[in-house]
Amino acid sequence: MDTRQLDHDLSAVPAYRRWLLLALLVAIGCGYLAAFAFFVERSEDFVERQIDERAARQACAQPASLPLQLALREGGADLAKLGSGWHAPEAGGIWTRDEDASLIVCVPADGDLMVEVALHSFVARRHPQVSVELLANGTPLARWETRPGHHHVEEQIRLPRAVLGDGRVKLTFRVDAPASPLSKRAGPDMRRLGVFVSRLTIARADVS
Amino acid sequence: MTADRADRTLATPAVRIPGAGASAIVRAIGPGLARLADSPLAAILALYAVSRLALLAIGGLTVVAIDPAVYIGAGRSLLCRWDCGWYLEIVRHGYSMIGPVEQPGQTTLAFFPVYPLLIGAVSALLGIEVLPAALLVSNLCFVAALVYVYRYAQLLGCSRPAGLFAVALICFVPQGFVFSAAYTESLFLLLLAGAMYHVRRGQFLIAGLLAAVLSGVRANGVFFVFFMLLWIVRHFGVAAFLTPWRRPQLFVPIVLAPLGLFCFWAYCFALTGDAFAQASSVAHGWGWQSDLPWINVWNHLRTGGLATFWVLCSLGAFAASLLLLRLRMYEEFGLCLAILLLLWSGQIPNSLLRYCIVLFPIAIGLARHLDGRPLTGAVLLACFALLNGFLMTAWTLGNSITI
Repeated sequence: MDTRQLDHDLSAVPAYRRWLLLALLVAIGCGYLAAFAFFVERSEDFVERQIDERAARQACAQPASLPLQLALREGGADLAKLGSGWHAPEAGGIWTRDEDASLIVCVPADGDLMVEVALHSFVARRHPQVSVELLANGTPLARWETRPGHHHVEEQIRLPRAVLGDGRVKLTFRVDAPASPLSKRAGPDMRRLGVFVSRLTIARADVS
Repeated sequence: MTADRADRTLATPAVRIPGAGASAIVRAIGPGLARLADSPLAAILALYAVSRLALLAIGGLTVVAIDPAVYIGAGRSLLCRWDCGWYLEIVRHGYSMIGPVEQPGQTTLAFFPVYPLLIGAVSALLGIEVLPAALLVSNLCFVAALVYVYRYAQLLGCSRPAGLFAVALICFVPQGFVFSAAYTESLFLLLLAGAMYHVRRGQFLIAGLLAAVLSGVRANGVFFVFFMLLWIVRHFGVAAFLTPWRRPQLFVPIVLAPLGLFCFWAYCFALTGDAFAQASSVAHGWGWQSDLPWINVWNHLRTGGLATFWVLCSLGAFAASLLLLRLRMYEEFGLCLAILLLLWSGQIPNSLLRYCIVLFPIAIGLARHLDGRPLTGAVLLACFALLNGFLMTAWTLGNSITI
């Protein structure tokens, strides 16, 4: 269509109708913005919620006795306690996939506990620094800065009674930048890898 | 052939037919037939029919070769594979947030609603089963889309042969059989071509409504906005954005385009409490993650196997889209580039070829470029048809190259 003719046709519409249309379009646009902001603010990943709810049901069906050594490897009995954010388990443990990977345990909440964790992060020359954080029910417990040559962590962390709530504890491994070895030219693996958790034990803290 | 000559040619045999009644009928329908034969619609329908029959023949021969009893006994259908089952599930049982235990997140919410809604409407209206209704919707949409593509090519100044060649390329494009299967591609193509056509005709409300439906067919339908923005800049300059009260009609398609997407988000929020349930579902259920497009393309090229095949196909589409720049079809190029970048941003390369074949401006660009080069055009069409035939065989066999 000839642009000049089209321009003439469009401009020939009475001014009040053009302003009315513009106001309507602006209102719809504002409606989009408001709706988007509302959705972002109020939405919760429904799959993560489902996985976490199922994990909580499984974990709390039989409250654990301490010390509790979680078997998070292929065929392990505690895989049902895994929430969202994990890859399929492997022989020696399990890789986190998302920025947040969680698991849920039900433990006695009558005193401080100790979490013993053994993990290593995926680091490479092109992915030299990875920050790993461990949270319990949203409260940060420990943070490790890992880099090539220093990417193995074996540590005991105190889990204060205050964060245990009713005994249902959501442990979250937060990795700042999971990446695939392929994208970092560190191997053929296409999976996004955060940390590989090979051991996780929960025990009562010494009273002393 | 001119209409007059065609009239005479078709009318001549009437003299030989005994009986005045028959003669009268032929005399009555003769001019109509002649007009039909002369109209591009007949050529478009012929291209559609030939391409579909060829594909069905290939699929049928494949079934015969492997044992029809096993194939049909397994409940398979030639035109219902992969995602087809999800769409039919939505039509039959509506959306559900329940996924399999072994793969949480694989739910029907990963699929947009307009296509299943259409299937449901047609099924209810005609009283037919869901799968035939789906195939009917797909094929009707495909024929209508081909007409729009032809008309769009004409609007861009293509000759009739070039317009028809563009239609032929779409009919025979590799993996083009999905246009006739229970997939969204034909509906997407129809709405995209329709919206762009009506923009170029200055019918902005129609374009906007089509674009609104388009974003309810697949999320990348909202990228129609890029085409519209570039079209406005090219025809009215940046000043059109600075003085929107002068021609607010131009912005109707832009404002209406995301409507379908927002409606689906609102529905998802009401159902699951997660407006972005579609994204959540594909991320958890199918492992979809995003990264920078060039990083993904590079990785897929290095991976080998199907990933490399798919990404090479998309790169071929991109290379062909560069012709649009040469032909000064900048708005169409912008749209193709935006959609390709979105596709490449996915870390999983599945279906890249299928997603690319709806970018019909590339076919128009190729057809226009090859206008007057019949040999090159024939070679390209033959390559398309051969690869399409190979992929049809793979589709029939359920090979993952056709996911």
